[in-house]
Amino acid sequence: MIIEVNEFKRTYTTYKGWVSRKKETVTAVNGISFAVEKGTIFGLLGQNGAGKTTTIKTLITLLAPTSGTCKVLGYDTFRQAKQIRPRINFIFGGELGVYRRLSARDNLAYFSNLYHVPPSVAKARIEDALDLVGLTDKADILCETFSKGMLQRLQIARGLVNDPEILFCDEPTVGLDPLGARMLRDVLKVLRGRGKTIMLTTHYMPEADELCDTIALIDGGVIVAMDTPSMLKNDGESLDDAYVRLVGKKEG
Amino acid sequence: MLRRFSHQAWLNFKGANAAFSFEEFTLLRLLYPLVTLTFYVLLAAYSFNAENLTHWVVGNSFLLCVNVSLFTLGQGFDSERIDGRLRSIIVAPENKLVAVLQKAAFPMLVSVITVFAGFIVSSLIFSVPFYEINLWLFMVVVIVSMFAASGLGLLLAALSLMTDSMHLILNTMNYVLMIFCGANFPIAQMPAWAGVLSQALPLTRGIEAANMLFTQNNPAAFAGLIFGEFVIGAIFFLLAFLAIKYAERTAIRRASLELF
Repeated sequence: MIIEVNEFKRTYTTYKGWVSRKKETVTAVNGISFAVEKGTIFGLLGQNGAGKTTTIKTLITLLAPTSGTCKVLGYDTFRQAKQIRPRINFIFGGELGVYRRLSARDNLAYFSNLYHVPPSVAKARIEDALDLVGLTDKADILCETFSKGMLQRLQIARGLVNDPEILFCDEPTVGLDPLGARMLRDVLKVLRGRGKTIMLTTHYMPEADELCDTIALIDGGVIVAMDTPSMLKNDGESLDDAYVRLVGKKEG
Repeated sequence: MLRRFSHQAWLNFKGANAAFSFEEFTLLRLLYPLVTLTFYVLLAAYSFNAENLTHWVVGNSFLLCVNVSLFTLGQGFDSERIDGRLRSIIVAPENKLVAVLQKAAFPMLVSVITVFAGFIVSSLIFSVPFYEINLWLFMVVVIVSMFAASGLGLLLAALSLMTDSMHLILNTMNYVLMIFCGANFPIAQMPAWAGVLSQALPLTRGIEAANMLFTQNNPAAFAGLIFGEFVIGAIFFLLAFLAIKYAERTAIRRASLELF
């Protein structure tokens, strides 16, 4: 298994008050376990605040687990982050994360350098990524003139600069128009075809249904169901219906 | 490696200044330092009723130059956090200290040039006999002092991984330097504890060495001060190297890298 999560728990502690300090602890993820097979797309679906982003941030080495273990490529995400980092990348939804006053090409060159990609390799890879996300024509324009969708497509290209073995995507289609979202789905399929492993969080059930080999439904920090999309659905049911049945039941 | 460093430094600089026209950039980098320098020298002239303003022109031109290193480096991670790019830098294999240094390389280079120009202009205004000194040696003092201040800036950058109050920290440090490094107030007239503090700060020896170029010909003492400034810088670099590793791990534990 290329990703192994075992009894993973993450809490956030905050302190309030000036004179008598009050400690508040929120449990974002509460002892989840799952494993992801190489070359597959694994979907993590759930409500806002369910623990999806915390899980992804832990797997990309940005957060330490409070307890339990998270392993990526066989390495512990906290203690052996150095071995993991060159071999993974991520795409987060939203408009932040790129240099607005650089062109798309310069942005990709910058992020390639962060991954120590040799210039000749980076050049070809940047052209490939720009082509894949349909930004070749706009590659030399400052990103501050880009639309939300174009920025999001640049984020996708940024996630490919180091040719990662695993790509973590946290709501990557947020803000994308239907054509942009379709393009992203096609990119993810191409990457799976190349043997890449993808972990995806999304609120769009049809997207998860179309792309994911396995889906875990997470709610309140715990996994409430995990299976293939077809096995999660009852006869004649859409994934949307299954989600409401499995997560809504608990919410209600 | 050097090629990658300079490319990254250039992209950082380009990204930060692409919005300015050439005229705006020139005014910002030349006029602003000159006006600030003039303000502090005039303040000193009227406060101390001094006729020879060499000491204040030298000290304040140093302070301006070094503030660029301190602020650009100190805010290195903070600005990345605000724009949502910190996660990309942390998760990438690039050394984090190098990533911050890349951000500061061109601003530091520009500030050496512009403040040097400002020093010449203000010397003409305030009748400082800059033509009597060895300008190459003066440049060496500036560069070594910037190296020392960069060490302090990097140490502060490490702190920024754990706190979002960098404006408070950097502004406080800025005034600590202004008060204790000898640019505006004579260290000899300060209490003993302040004298000890000033010796632990970057710039103190650099400013003394630069003033020495105007006041006395003592190559051994001059070299000692330059060496001392370099050692202070090296100590801060070492501390920054250790602190950044600790800060990154602490930030990952505490979830303070981003606004989660």
